Amino acid sequence: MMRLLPFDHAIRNLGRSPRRLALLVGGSALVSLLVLGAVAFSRGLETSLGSSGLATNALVLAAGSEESVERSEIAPSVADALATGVEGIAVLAGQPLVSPEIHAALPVSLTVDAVGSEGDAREAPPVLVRGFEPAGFAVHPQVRLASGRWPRPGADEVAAGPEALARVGGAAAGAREGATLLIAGQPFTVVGTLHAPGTAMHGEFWMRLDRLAQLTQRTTRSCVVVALGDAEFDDVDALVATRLDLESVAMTESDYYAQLAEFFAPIRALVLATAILVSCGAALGGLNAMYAAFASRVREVGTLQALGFGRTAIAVSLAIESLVACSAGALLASLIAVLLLDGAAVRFSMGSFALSVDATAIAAGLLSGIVLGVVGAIAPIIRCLSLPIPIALRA
Amino acid sequence: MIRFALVALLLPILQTTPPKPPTDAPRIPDSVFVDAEPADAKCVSVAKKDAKKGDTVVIQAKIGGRAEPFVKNRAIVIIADRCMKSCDQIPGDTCAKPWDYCCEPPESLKANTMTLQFTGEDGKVLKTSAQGVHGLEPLALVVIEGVVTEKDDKGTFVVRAKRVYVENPAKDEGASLNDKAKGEGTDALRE
Repeated sequence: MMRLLPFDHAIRNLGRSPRRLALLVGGSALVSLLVLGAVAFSRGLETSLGSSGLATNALVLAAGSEESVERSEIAPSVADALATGVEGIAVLAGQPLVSPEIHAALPVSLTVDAVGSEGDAREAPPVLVRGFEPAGFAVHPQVRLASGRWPRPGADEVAAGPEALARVGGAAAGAREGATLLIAGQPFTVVGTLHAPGTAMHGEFWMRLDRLAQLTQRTTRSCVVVALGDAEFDDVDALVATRLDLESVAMTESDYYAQLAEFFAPIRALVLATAILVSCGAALGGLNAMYAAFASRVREVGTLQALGFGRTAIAVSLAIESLVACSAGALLASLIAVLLLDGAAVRFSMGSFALSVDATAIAAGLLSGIVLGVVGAIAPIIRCLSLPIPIALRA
Repeated sequence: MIRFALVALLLPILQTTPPKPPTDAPRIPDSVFVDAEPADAKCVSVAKKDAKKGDTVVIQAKIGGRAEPFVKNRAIVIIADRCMKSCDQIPGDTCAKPWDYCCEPPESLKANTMTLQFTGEDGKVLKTSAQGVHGLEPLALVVIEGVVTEKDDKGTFVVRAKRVYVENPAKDEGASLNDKAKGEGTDALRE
């Protein structure tokens, strides 16, 4: 039976050169953090879009605009047609849960004194503003009011998602209720903060439907969200297919967001590929450090061989050293990710989502550390053990 | 023994036959589909203009008019006037779902499309999809005879099918087109 070197021999060796150990652990942590961050990005985007839509809601939008609710325009009568034409729709306080909405990307900027030039408004980033009616609260149970109150009909008031406020610089300015925003050049008061963590709505402004219709000068709606209740989605689809005058199509809300997630799939793949490429560069750096570390121990390896330890036993011991150092780096990366990356907001042109450091992301980070530890040790070990014992002892 | 275990493991993977629907599931009666084309067929646009609620009409059409012309789990089909060009008839068009008539203006689409329903004995729409039944696939050419059950001046025109003649059962072609479209997914839609 093969005689292995004691486990603590490998561990003690790690402590012989703290600088070298720090280099190995740091390099591994960097690689793991990159992979972990990329997976957290992908998972966050997927989770955010997955949580934004419910399979129990039907989304009715204009035919031909299935891919973008912002582009969709349907007649206001569609909501009534659905409320009266589909049996079994969920009802709250005697009202069918049918929510006509307007989704518009409008330039929003923060102003303290509510006086701003039109030029300011044009330079402001576009943020999604949703026009809603009271049924909107019931069909989107993920959204709740964290503080303040909901906007009143016809009033120049908005409820703000925390990410939406942060996007226009409100978080840095400490803007809360009472702050004034310039939306499409007109002043609006923030009267409430909405809370919908993990969904796209966390990064939106909500105002009453009539006010948004007035602001955007449109008579149409973007979509109607229907809480299905006892009705089936096929009932809604059947009505839409029968009433061709509505010029609309139906899909489940979850399908709509799944389609959006599919649209972002190339971006997610690109982020992962970039992280892997950068990790490869970092891994080569780590490999170089490992090579140098093992090369300086050729004499020690020769001595061990002279003492009767087989090459396999020495290789296992060296691999354990590398694996322990890299795993420590991966654990460190996981800790940093949980403390600093988890929940961090990523803002893109039309909204935001939070990085999700979940079990999958941590597993990916740890796995990359382990792979780096094992694969990175192979070449240096071969180099180290390839020398004959007399030459190794004289090295 | 190992061979048996392998066969047992691989059998569900290799089995390509789709599961049969339960026998009590509603289905469109075969008697609706006829081999002879009903006579004196009109175009969709003409029938929409002339027919009144309760009239029996014969209409020639092509299945299509939106990206998903069949309603899942309901025997409802959107059909379009053959005078309108579907995307596959436009040279150089690479639309993944040529039956959606995406090149047509909305007004033209509203005037030249209608709804075909298959109902049960109780007069209610059958809770089954019509897709794939007797060659009903996107872009299939059909001649239908039925009764106008709904009509308004805004564009609604619903016919309850009594007899359906599928001109060129395009089951395989249609299915492959549909599969292609599903495969290409939303990228193509975005174009």
